[in-house]
Amino acid sequence: MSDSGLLLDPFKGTTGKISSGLCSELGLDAETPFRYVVPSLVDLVAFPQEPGNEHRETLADLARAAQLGGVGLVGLMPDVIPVADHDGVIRTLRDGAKTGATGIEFIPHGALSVGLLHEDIAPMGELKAAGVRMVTDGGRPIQNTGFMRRILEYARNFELPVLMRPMDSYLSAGGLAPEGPAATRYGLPPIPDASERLGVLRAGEMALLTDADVVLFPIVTEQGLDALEAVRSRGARVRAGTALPYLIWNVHHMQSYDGLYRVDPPLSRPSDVQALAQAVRNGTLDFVASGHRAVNASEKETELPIAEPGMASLAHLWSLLQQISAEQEIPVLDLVKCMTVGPAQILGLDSWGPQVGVVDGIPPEIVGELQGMARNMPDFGVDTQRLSVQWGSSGSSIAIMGAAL
Amino acid sequence: MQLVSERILLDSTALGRVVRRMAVESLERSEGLDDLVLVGIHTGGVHLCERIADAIEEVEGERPATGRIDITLYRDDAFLGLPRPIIGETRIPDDSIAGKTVMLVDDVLFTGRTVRAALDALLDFGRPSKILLAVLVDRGRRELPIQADIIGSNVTTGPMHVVEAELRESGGTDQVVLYKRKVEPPEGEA
Amino acid sequence: MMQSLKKGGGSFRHLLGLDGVPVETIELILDQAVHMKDIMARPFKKVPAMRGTTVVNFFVEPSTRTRTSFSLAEKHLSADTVSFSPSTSSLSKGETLLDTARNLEAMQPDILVIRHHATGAPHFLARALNCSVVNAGDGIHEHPTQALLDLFTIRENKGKLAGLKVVIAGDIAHSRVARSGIFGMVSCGMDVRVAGPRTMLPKGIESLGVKVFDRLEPAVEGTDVVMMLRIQRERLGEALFPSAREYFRFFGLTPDVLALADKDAIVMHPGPINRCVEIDHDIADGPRSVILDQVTNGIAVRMAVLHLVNQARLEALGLGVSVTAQAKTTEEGS
Repeated sequence: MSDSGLLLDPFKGTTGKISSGLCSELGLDAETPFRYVVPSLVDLVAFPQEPGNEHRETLADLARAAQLGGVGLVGLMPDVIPVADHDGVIRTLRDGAKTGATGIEFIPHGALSVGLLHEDIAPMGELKAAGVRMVTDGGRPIQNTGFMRRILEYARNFELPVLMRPMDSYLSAGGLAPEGPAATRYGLPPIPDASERLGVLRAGEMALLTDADVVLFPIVTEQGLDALEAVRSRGARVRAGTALPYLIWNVHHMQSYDGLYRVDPPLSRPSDVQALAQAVRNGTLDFVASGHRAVNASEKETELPIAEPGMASLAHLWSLLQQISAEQEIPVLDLVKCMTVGPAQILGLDSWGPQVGVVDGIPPEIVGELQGMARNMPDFGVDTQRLSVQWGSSGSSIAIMGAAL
Repeated sequence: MQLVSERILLDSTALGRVVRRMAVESLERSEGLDDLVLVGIHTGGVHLCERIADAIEEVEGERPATGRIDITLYRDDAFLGLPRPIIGETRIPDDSIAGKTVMLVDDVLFTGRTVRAALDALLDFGRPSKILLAVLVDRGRRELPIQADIIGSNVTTGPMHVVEAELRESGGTDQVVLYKRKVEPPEGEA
Repeated sequence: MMQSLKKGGGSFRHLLGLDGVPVETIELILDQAVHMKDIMARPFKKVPAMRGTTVVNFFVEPSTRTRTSFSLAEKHLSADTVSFSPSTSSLSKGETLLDTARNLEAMQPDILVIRHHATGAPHFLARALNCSVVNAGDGIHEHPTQALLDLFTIRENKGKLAGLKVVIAGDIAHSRVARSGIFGMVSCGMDVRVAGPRTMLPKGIESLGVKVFDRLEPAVEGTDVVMMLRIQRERLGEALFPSAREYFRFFGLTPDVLALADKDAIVMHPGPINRCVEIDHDIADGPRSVILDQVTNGIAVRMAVLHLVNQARLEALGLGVSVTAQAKTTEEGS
């Protein structure tokens, strides 16, 4: 039993000590020197590849990745094939978690328009009845503000929060790096900060106009955060989050032109990374998600502009959180809040899964499996501390959870 | 690896005499100054070539045409990796040696590989009527069937020897010195 | 010896760009190119230095002049050369770049010269393959041999590089010639200005050490070298500029504009020129234009680059003479 192990309660906002009595109560091995004992996490945004692209990753694979990462509930984006714009696909996605018997649950987010084509409103009532708690543009931003108004009004009708990507498609078109000296030096087509700003400002105005519950993801620039504060100060109900890669890597990692660093939106500048870290620390950002997106190795092993974007980070979640905490000086508790309290408030969750123990090192029996699941990940720092998780038993202690949801 | 001086083969007085003799021999071997072109092999033969040309001018009142040739790109180890891949200047008067008597000049004749490369390089400029080789020192140990026509001095050497022509134009003492390579004994031994 | 050729820590086995290449390395290449140019002036323009070396010219983005220039350079060095272009390559049939490159590698080329529309393609191949890679142009990123031949031409005409004032004008944002040129010229201590319509000036370019102008006249004033970039007609459709006519009138190099430069200024262009779009007829053909010299110098510079890359490649392979044998050859007389 490690003396330095911390019991983190993000709901109460407290840090305590781990005791063997507590471990037994939670169904965790009392002899293991856990670094942390925490509630299982909620990953608000992951991009499934089944149905449609099973050759990249099946839902069973995704559930297993979540299990390895200590995530008990995964929010799934609807841009599968066919798009999750009706209850059939929603059921397929949700049931996909059950095949592996991992104990992980999926919560699919519904598409806000049919086929994500942004021409016709999706049947949000039907989607909600099928268990959807949030609708989304699936990362494909709506450019027609008239249409955006309609879907926000309709979502408000069913009290569904709407997850949107803040981006101006015209300004971002073809871009591979944030506009500025780095993009110019590396010869990468630029994306001006104005794109994310306009996305945020527009969403803010529309939220005010329609009284909708707007959630923006991902915010990746300092300017985007500034716009977020501006719309909030006008009274708009806008929540926001970012994805893990934007807290670890930056545009200078692109100078090797290695497809492993290709994400969408592209990695930001070091100053943006610092601003995002500050926003996590001070609560400006409500949540952090993995943004997990698995592709085949061959889709990355190609020239940068056509490399498929995405990092399959879910299975390595705690190693990444630890690295972010150390490098960006963010207390682990704040990161955990962003993956528990924040998502819980957005989705209106009122119950929780098992607790999880986080321990140093990877057990030998899963090293090979984790290697296989690291094919989309750049080597995240030779010295990165690798952490793995152990799951407690389900239906365990509510004593740890505070009431403040 | 150190070089230790064993003896001086030619001091500066002897050097001057030898150069004058080589100049006279060159004249004897050619059909006249218009026919003769001296070409120094980079790096060791370039200054020597100019000295012989100066000596010929003292004797004849007229200077022969001179040039220089860099053989880096013609070396037989070009496809293995050259120890010194940087090439130097090649300058052939009128870009032409056709029908002339070309005298290749170098300071030390050793394995013969440099001369072989120089012959290939030279022949790419045209077809001379004759090529002669003049060297300041022939130290033997040939690896190719190459011979010099005009030799300043002969010396028998072993594999651990190094012969250096330290001409004053290159900042040296104007002597030709025989060195021996001294291998450092392994640590712990006397 | 090859230590001195290392580009910013990397090996000279590849030439991927001029970003980070020290001035000593650039000057070495230019000095070697002088000798290569002498070889081109000989009646018999061939040296055996790269005999038995196989070079593959892989031009995914088509280019007649750069490909021909490389081919000639390779032939002058006695290398064996094979060229692939889009119509002859299987890339048009949907094969990925990696698969095509691997197939090429199976033919055991020693050096791959590649031009590709994707930024970073040569860097990707240098990692993925075993042969040496020379970048003949990647997307909008770099075109190092062009920049080197431009520097050679300037030095040949002006006798020096450091302190000269140069203006590069045109579609800077999309020009790999400009980018490589800026890296090389700034390294060599030149005073570099870029000029073009604001739609063609990339944000943050001052960070590369250049002065930025959105009109041509003030940029040209007092310069020793005026370099005009080609306006790609395809880009005129991208709403970067109203029309060729408007471009020529306000951003083209006309005699009035050239008169603002130093009286001995030279005019350069990477080619092919668009007459009366970026450059006036008479200037392109006039006495101050060194455009045709650039073409000749291109072959010489590429010969120098190929020779040095090849030697670095051999050194890396460790085939070269052993140290003791090397000691013998250092004093090898003849």
